[in-house]
Amino acid sequence: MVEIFLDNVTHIYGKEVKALDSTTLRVENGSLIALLGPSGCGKTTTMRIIAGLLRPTSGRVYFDNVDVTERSSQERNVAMVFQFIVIYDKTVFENIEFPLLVRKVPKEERIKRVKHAAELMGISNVLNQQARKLDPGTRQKVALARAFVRQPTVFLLDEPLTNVDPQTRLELRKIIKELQKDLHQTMIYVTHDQAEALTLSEKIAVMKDGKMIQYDTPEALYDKPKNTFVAWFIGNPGMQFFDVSLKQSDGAFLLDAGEFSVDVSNVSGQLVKYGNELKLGIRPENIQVSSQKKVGWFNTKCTMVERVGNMHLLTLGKGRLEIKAKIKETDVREGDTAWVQFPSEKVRVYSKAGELII
Amino acid sequence: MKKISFRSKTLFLALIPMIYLYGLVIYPFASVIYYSFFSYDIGGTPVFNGVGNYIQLFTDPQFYRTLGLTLSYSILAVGAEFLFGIGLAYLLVHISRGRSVATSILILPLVMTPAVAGIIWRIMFDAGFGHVNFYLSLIGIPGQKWLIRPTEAFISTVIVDVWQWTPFVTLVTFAGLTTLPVELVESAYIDGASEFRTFKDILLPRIRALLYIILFLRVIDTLKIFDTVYTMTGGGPGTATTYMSIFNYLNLMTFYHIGYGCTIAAFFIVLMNVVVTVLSKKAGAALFAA
Ligand SMILES: Nc1ncnc2c1ncn2[C@@H]1O[C@H](COP(=O)(O)OP(=O)(O)OP(=O)(O)O)[C@@H](O)[C@H]1O
Ligand SMILES: [Mg+2]
Repeated sequence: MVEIFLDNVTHIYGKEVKALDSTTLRVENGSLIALLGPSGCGKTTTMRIIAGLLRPTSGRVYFDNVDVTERSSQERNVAMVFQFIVIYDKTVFENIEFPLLVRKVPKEERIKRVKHAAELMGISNVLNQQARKLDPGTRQKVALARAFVRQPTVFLLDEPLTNVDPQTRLELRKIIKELQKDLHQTMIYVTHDQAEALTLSEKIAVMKDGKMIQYDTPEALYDKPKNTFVAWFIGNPGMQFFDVSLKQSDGAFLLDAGEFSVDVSNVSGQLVKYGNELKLGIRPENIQVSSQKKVGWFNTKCTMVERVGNMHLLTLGKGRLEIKAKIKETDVREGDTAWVQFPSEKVRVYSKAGELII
Repeated sequence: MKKISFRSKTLFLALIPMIYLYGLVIYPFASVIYYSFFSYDIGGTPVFNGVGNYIQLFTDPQFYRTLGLTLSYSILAVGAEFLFGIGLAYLLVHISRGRSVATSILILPLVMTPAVAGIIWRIMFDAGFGHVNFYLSLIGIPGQKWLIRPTEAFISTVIVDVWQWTPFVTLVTFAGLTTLPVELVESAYIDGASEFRTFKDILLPRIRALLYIILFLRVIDTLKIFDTVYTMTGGGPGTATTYMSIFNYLNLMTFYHIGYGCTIAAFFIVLMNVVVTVLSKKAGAALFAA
């Protein structure tokens, strides 16, 4: 159990590919954090640097304030599970036993710990089978058990559930969450599935193009995304944006999108200094929609109704603009006129460059 | 002219593999088996001899000696080739530079004609002015009578086989290892295994189907050994390096016993079939399990 600190880490593959760009990240002792980001943003590179499989081009890696940048994976004593399911050509028991065997743990203790790890993963019934003959879900359970059978400084899980069937994925998500609660182990979980990141972790580091964009609690990422990328990336679908300009009329401040405007008089003071060109952001699930005309709401034309899980996703046309609204119950049908309101406390305003203002 | 109908055309096409199988593959074998029941020396006429040749074969002490020699040769040579071959593959995986130079050197013995290799080694092993004895004398080991004494001659032939074929085991094993996912190595390393342990316990088992195929090819090849040894020792001194093929050849071509030679060949065919079946079952099982 350690605190992990990446200090200004940059990694360049070969001469050209900058996979990590001045990344700084602190993972508190005993916490489970997720690395979230689109494909190729540098998640695996980050993990390999923490694991000691890759030496960063520049920057340092600290475990509990000790500089481990020059130390090998074995010296760092990390455990890692890969997206590519790694199974040895042995029985399930021998697979899980392997890390203990090479560490010369006494036989009695090995048996005890292997059985315990197998129980945690629910694979006690296949201990004597050849691991490579099992289905991918069970194979990944074996790989996880092999990581959990010893006491490493940190668990590094690089998209462990991506190549696993949906049923096992849910099951393993629950097991990992519970294990982390019981063990209070530092864990870093890589995923490009935000649902997974949101349900599992205490904090999420959102990455893009080799940079840490925002490192925050799931609530903060959802509620106050630092820039338009995070806002769009988190959520299903993510936040939508409208180009607006700040207008003053009759003493009130309005964000004018041309086709509609939103009153922001209560926060106008902060906005003035950012110039006239702004971006208004709102999450589809925060938009209010009604089939009845209401005071202060504006009218739109509903062009599409889709079901997303137990919600309805409405596509609403307003002149040249298109608005997405996600609501539970609605009597609005395709072709109807729908009345819409953006609650001012849910509206986020971003600068032209995409940075959060309010 | 009447056009060939579809049916007769397909029938005709189906005949081609039949002709190939019966005419080209089975026929020579059938002739060997046929003559193995005849007393037939060159210049004479074949006289039916029943199982006479077989009785002669199974009561011939030279036959048992040859069989024992051939099996020992095969086991020793293939064993050493695997030991050194896989060892070299391990080194090849772990060196960081000079790998392509190493592989181009390794390939040299492989591309040499076996008959030429035999002649070269005959010179190298020469008891008087041979290179081997010269270098041995440099490190204080007295010269050996390599191709003159029976045991030394036997060992010499094994050494030459190992020299020529170890690179084959190395290169194919190395190629197999390079197809393995990098995560396999990294995972074993993170799990705490040493490089050697990872190689032995994790990587080699993963390519065992390939290793069985190499084993299969080497065993067949060594059991059939002929040209290298024939040009190097001619099967001697005495019968010290008279392996199966040489024994067979001498009977056919030197002593002109066509019938008896065919009996030896027939036995050899059966022996090889058993070996091939057993080994290919092993290799097949490993392949399908992978
Ligand atoms: N060995 C390598 N050599 C060169 N470039 C590499 C290498 N490994 C990764 N890259 C590049 O570095 C960047 C980051 O890769 P990385 O594997 O860290 O991304 P990732 O976030 O894990 O993506 P994914 O979600 O697809 O797993 C990518 O542009 C990738 O193409
Ligand atoms: Mg990755």
